[in-house]
This record gives sequence, structure tokens and C-alpha cells, in this order.
Amino acid sequence: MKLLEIKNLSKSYGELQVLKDITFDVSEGEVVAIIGPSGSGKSTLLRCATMLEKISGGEIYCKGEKMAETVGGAVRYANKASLKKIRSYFGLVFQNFNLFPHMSVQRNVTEALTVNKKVPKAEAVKTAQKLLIKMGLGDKAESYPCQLSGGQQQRVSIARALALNPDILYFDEPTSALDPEITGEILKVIKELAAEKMTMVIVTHEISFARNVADRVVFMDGGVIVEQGRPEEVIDNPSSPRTKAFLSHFSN
Amino acid sequence: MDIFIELAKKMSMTTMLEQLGEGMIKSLSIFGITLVLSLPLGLLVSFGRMSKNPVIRWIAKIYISVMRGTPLMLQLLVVRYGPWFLFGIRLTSDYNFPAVIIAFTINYAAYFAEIYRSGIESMPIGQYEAAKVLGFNRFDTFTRIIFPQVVKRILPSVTNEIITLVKDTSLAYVLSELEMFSLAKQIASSQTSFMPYLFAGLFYYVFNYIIAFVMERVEKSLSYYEIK
Repeated sequence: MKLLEIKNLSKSYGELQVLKDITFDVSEGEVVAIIGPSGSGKSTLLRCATMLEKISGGEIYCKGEKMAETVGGAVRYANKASLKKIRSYFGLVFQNFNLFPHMSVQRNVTEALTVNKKVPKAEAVKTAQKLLIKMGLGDKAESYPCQLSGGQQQRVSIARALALNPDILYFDEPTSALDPEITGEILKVIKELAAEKMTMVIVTHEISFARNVADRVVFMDGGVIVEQGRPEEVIDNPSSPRTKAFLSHFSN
Repeated sequence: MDIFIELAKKMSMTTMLEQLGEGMIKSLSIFGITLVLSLPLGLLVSFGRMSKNPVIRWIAKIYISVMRGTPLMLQLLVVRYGPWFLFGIRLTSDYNFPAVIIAFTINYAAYFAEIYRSGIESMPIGQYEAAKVLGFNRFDTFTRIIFPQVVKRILPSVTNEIITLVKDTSLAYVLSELEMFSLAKQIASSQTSFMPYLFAGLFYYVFNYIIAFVMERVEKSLSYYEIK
């Protein structure tokens, strides 16, 4: 089953076109890594899929439900109720975590459950505790984000996203704001999720990680998907000269 | 000690303090009522100032501009006597106190509005984005995520404004409201004594000292977390 389908998506800021005619989909259980140079549009693609940016053209379906379409050149989003439902299908992990600094770690995880999903507090706390233990943060429930390291904060934000039980989890450069030695702990968590068949789309600069964990690697440049395929094809044996040029900067 | 003997001859110390006490209560009421009304009104005005609707935005902008750009004393007079000069509505002196409250409230709301705006606009966009992706509606996003952090950010500016308000209450004398300062002035001239001024000064200082102390406590109670 396709959890995400994007057809002919374009995105412009005024004159500047950052995404050009992107067609892209993600099947259930798949782990997709999107790589490419800065400004290639990979984060924008993720932001369009998570409705943080409005698309300029094309169609997006989430779990088969229409999020947005383009009719006669005009983009039409689904109604508010449908969008609310669609929003519950995915989670997003930000580069800068974006935890709520005034809430405890536990409350960061439970707040959306109790407020938006009307889950009873005791049940939400249970869910949070389970996830925090899974993230190796069982003893940090009462801490505040400012008391945690960057890697710990990012793990809280992964727990926060997982608490809502999304069908698909997006990562927008989850390790870019972290020290190199901390990067590993986040990558390990993502790997564990991949082993549990969590559907994930990861925008990343970690090429070797992409090769290790992804079922499919997508290389973007200049607002288009240049090539995609199995990691051993795209990363070890790229067919496009642009992919080759980009990957030559990473000598393992 | 000559001054006390002198005073005892005319007005006893207790009488003087009693009278000043009444002024003190009046000053405190102006202060308290203005604060309770202008803080929420200011938030409303700041929403107007940040509204997507250009008409609402401009109305709020002009309102703030006029309130900040003209003396509070003039505003007091306009609120008190404007109805008569503009619409021929005659109001008795019963209207003096409400006029003081109205003028103070609309004036301070303008200042608070800009303080709220500075706090709200300084919030990182990531907080809104995280809230959106997690499914919070606009109301919950503001009340649960944005506003608590805004309060922490703006507390020092709000403290400043509150302290100014304490001292500004003395302007109520232009509408013959017998608050602390006008009473002190009255007693001082009738008794040819400087003491009432000293008491008045002490009153304002102690009052503001307490406010600074309380606000520091509030700031401390919010120091359990940091905002990037």
C-alpha cells in the first residue's frame, strides 16, 4: 500500500522554483533516504508532504486520501476535517527538535495525546514512559529539554512523534544540528525503527547511513529527482554525472 | 523634633496619616483595576496589531500610536470632558473615578500590546510548526505552547510598565481624584509641612519595592526552563 503519493509536485517562492514536477511515492514499510546538496529542495519536499508549505502545483495523497490537487492550474487542498485526519497519518522529526521548552520531557510526549487525541492522562503517561524507555530516556521523564544534550532532545522529539502512532515518519536532517559523536545515537534509533518496519522518509547528509538503513535512496538536485533506486545502485554505482559529482565529496 | 510639635498644633499625626491612608487606598484601586483591565485588553490589541486583516491592523496601529504619542494627562481630560465638548453629554463628578480608570486602562493597554507583540513575534517559528504537525489547533497552540513562553520573555518589560503605572496613578489628581499624591499636596500646603510629601514618596517607593520583589519571584518561578 502506498502511504505517500506525490504527483507532478511543484513549489515556487515567487519567481524562484524550488521543486519542479516531482513524482514520488512511499510504500508501507519502506525506508527512503533523500540525499542531495543544500538547496536541492529535499527539505522543501518534506515540508510540502507535511503541510508546512503549500504546494504550487501537483497532487499529494496520504494513505490514499487526497491532501491536495491541482485543478485548472489552481491548487485545492482538502477540507479542514480531512486535513486534520491526514495530519494524524504522519509524524515529523525536525532538525532543531522544536521541543516545547516549558514542558517536561514527559509532557512533551503526552500533550498532543491528551489534548488532541483525548487520550486519558494515565494512558498517555504510560505510552510516554514506554517510548522514553525505548529511547533510553526512562530516567529523564521529569527533566526539561534544556537539561538534556542535543542527542537526548532529538530522541525526545522522536518519542513525541511516535506517541501519536503515525503511519509514516518523516525526518528532516535529524542529525544536522548535532555533534558528530552524538549523530550515531540518533542513527541507531532510526535503524531500530527500520527493523520494526516503521515507514520512514529521511532527509539526510549521512551518506553511509543512508546506504545502511534505506531500502531506497533518492538523489535530488536543483529541485528535481535526479535518480533513485536501491542504495547500492545510487550510492555505489550512480548513473547520473550529477550524482557522481555529489557523492565524490563523500569519501566514506 | 520641632516639626512634630508644629504639626501637633495644627493637625495631629494620626489625622494626617488617616487622610493619607485614604489616598493610598485610592491609588491602590486605580493601580489594581487598571492592571486587571489593561493586561487582557492589551493582549486583544496586540492581536489586532498582528491581524492579517489590514483594516483591523491599521486601527490597532493608530490606536497604539495615539495612546503612546499623547500625554496621559491629556487623555484623562479628554475621557472626562470629551463627552461634554463633543456630544453635549453632561456627566457629574461621579464619573471622575470611572474616567480615570478608562483613561489609564486604554493608555496602558497600548503599551502592553506592544510588549505582547514583541514577545509573540520573538517566538521561533519551529514552535508553531511542531504544534501544527502534532495536530494542535490554533487556540491550543497559543494557550498551551506560545503564551506560556511569551510570558517568560516579556516579564521584565511588564515589570517596568507596572512600576511606571504605580507612579502614574498620581496623575489622577487632574480629575480631582484624591489619591496619594494630591492629598499629600493638599495637606502639605494647608499645614505648611513637608512631611506629607515624605510619606507619599515613601509610599510609592515601598509599593514599587514590593512589586519588584514579587516580579522577581515570578521570574524565578519560571526559571526552571530556558528558551533558546
